[in-house]
This record gives sequence, C-alpha cells and structure tokens, in this order.
Amino acid sequence: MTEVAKYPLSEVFELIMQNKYWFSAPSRSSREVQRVYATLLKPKTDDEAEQFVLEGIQSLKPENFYKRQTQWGLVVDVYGLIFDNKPWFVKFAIELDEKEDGSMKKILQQISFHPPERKLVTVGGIKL
Amino acid sequence: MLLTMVRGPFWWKDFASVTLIEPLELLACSNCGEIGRQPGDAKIVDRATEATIRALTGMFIENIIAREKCSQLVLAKRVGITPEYLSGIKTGTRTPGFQTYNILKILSENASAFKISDPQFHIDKIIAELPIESYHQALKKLA
Repeated sequence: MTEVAKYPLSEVFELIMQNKYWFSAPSRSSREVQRVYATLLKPKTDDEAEQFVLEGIQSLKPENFYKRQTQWGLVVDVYGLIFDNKPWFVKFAIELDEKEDGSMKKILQQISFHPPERKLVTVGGIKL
Repeated sequence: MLLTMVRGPFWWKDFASVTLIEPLELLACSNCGEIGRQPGDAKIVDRATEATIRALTGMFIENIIAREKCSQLVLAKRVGITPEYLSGIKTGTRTPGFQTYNILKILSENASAFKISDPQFHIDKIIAELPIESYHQALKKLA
C-alpha cells in the first residue's frame, strides 16, 4: 500500500497564507538556500531565502510526497521537489501550539528545505 | 527557544557573516544558539543587517578620508568604483557589495594598504624586474 501524507497540502498552503509558520532551524532551510545560491553567485537575503522556501513548499503536489517519518515523537511529511531547476529535500509537520489565552492554534513547523543528502524517489516517480 | 538578544552572524546577499552593531531580540536555542524565526523576523533581520553594513561602510570611508586627507574621487579610483557610487555608500543611501565593503575595510584598518592601492606603488620596480620576454608574451596573448 502506498503511504500517504499525514498533513494535507491544502492545509499546509493555507497556514502559509495565514503566516502561521515557524522556522525552528534556519540552518536546515533558509540558510541552506542562501548557501546554494551564494555558490551560484545569486546571493539571497534572509527574507528572500525564506520566501523561496515558502514558495517551494507552496509548489508541492501530491506526486512530490516521499514518506512519513517520525522525528522526536512527531510525524513529519517528507517530499522531494525540483524547484528553480534544483533538487530539494522538503520536510515539515503541522503542530498545535498553545496561545497566551490558552487556546490552541495550528502552526507549520519543523521546516527543512535543503539539497537532498541521499537519493530518493517520490510516490509520483520523481527521482532526486 | 528563548527570547534573547542576538547579534548574528547573519547572511546578507554576498555577505556570509555579518555581526550586528545593535543586537536584535529573537528566539534562539539556549543549547545550540540556533535562531528560530517567526513570520516577519527575516525582514527584521535583513533590515538590521543591511543597516549594519551601511553604517560600517560609511565609517570606513570617513576613516580613510580623515587619515589620508584624500578626496572621494581619489578613493573611488583606488577602490575601482565611481565617485557617485562612493558618495552613495558614504552617505548610507546605497549598500555596497561584499568586495567593495571588504576593500574599504582593509583600507580603513591598514594605512600601508592605502599606499599599496596607489596604482603607481612599486610599479617602476615591478617593470624593472619583469623579464622582457614575459612582457612580449603577454602582448602576443592580447593581440
């Protein structure tokens, strides 16, 4: 049976549109984008790199899904993406965060976005 | 992640490591120092980083001009940029690239570097020591 993503992409896109995301480790996302583009002599600022990551995630399609993974007890969805003609390993989770008033809100978190460190083939047959 | 005052280092285009003059209050991991980002934080970091680069560049230029008592035109020629561009980065209305920033930093910190940047520095000695064959070889390559 083919594995399916835990977090619907429509919900992921909606959270980005509503600015409900959180980069907990820029060294695994926007800084990696900056590193890649610095070597291509097309340097990006922090904001440009972050926007690039968000646009990359928003371009995901179901065929980009690779697998679910558990990280620190949390299920994360992993995708493989070709974006701006470059291969990217994409990973994220949707978590519930408690607000100051005690209510809960969903946040897109644990965002990774970097060149793949090993080969992967997505469920749609995209090879990175 | 704790809300704490952070100076970086941050990226800004071709500057891979900028330490802020004024620290920013950001969330950072108390163990590894990794800075977490909420929506809008990247814009704030960019603004602070660019402001630091502009302020330091203006300071470098003022140091050089005060120490060497040279005109902006002379300094622009030494760095290889137009006087208009130098004026823009001196007044903080433009942001230099990393190479221009770094040349100005070196010229500001090191008086002998300014002397070396003179196009006539040691040129007579270099010409005298240059084997005449290599000069002709270089000319042939240009032809």
